[in-house]
Amino acid sequence: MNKKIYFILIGILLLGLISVSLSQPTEFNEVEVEEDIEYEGTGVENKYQSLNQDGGSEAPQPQEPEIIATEVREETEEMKKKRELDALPFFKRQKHWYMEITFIVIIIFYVINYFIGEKTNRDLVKLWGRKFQPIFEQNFAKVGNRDVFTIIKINASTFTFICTGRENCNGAQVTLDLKKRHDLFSVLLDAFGFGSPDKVTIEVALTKDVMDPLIFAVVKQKALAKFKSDHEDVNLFCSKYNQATGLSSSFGVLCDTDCLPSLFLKNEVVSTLNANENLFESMYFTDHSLINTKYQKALQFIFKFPKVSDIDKLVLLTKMAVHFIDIVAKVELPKAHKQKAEKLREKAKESVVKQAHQDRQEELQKKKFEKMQKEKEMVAKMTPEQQRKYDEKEYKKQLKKKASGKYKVLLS
Amino acid sequence: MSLSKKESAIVHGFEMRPTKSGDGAENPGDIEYWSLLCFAFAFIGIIVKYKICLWISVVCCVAYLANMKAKDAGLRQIVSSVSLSLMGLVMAYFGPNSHMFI
Repeated sequence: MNKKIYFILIGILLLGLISVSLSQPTEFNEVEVEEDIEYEGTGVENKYQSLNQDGGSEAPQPQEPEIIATEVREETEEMKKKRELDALPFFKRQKHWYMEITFIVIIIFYVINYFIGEKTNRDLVKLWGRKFQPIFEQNFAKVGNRDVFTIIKINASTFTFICTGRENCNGAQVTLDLKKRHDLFSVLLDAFGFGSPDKVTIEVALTKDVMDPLIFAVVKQKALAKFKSDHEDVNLFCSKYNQATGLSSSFGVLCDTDCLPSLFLKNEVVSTLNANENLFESMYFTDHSLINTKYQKALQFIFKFPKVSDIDKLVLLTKMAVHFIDIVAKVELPKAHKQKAEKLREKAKESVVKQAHQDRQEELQKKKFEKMQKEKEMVAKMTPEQQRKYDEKEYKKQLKKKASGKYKVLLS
Repeated sequence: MSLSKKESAIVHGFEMRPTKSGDGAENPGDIEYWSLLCFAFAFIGIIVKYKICLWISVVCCVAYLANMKAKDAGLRQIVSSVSLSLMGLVMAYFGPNSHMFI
């Protein structure tokens, strides 16, 4: 942050210097203009003086020069007024400063809000770190990028932290997406109810050899349609599970085989989810993850960040998330269900391959058609003689093709 | 639970959400709208000679600096938008054609 301020200050200083250097030549120009006008004025008088001297017998006409002289004087008066206005310093030329004051106030408010909001977010992250450090240290061998517990700042409202060193998984990444408290416009939007809440996302990458083929998700009923459209694999394989699971009615369960809810939603889990209904957003296990193509088997948990006083509730949910790593890794689907799941995936693969093949064919046909049309247009533009030559060429080409075909037949 | 903790399972350089894709290009969701707005308003302000556009570009520039990702904070990135928006303002108030700005 200090760096940013430093650069801004340097920028302002530089531009100030440029502005000072720009304002000097304008004064110089004005002086030049003044001299020119004075010279013009004197020039008119000189002209008539010389006429009088050279006129000889003709009497001098005093009226004409007077009229011209008054015109020149009027012009010079106008110019003088203009010059006086221009000569004023720029801050006296402007009548009012409402716009400038408004924008400066907005900028000042923005800067003040930035520091306050950033500090609030930082304090929240510190609090989270203090509370959750022991949980992650108990479950992972390496917590943070270095040997110390470190939370990395991505921007003023997003923080992330990585841990690895546990059986059945490559590692986990926790992302804290807090409200953009540092951004005045986001704060205003939030005040009108358009903001998004603070979120904690835990993403776990399971190792390749564990976990049967399964896709399972528990989402809030309201967000069900959006979740489906956001996750292609859920949309392809899963359907809504309508039987009773013990979960409150605000939850919706999505699974690819019907045995999954009974395997994952044990009494403990159900009671934890029901107790923290307002903090829970989604829970999603998949073997077709698109988060990172390296780790296709992944778990994702999204929770809302609670009030500072309720942070213990989040501790329980986080413990549940870590607990699920081993459960999902070791789960064994009944044979019939496993076969069904595998068949589903094979079908999907086949349909994807078919679709790709169809697309390729269509593209080829399109290209062929375009080429034919171009040739037709070309022939239409040709003169009769050129057309005859072109036809001959084509005929020869076809003959050659046929001949080469015969050779091939003979050779084979 | 702590039984599952294993030193041998440590994956060095583990990253669940890579910040940059394999070929070095930035993720498509990372477009900096504030910076774009800042440039657009500054250009419009200078060409059409409206002071209000220049002031909006300065506000956008401040918002861009505030929302910038920590890893992106380089001299070139900052200087380009800051200098353009401030240059517009300097032209409008201190420049030789300052009387033309509305």
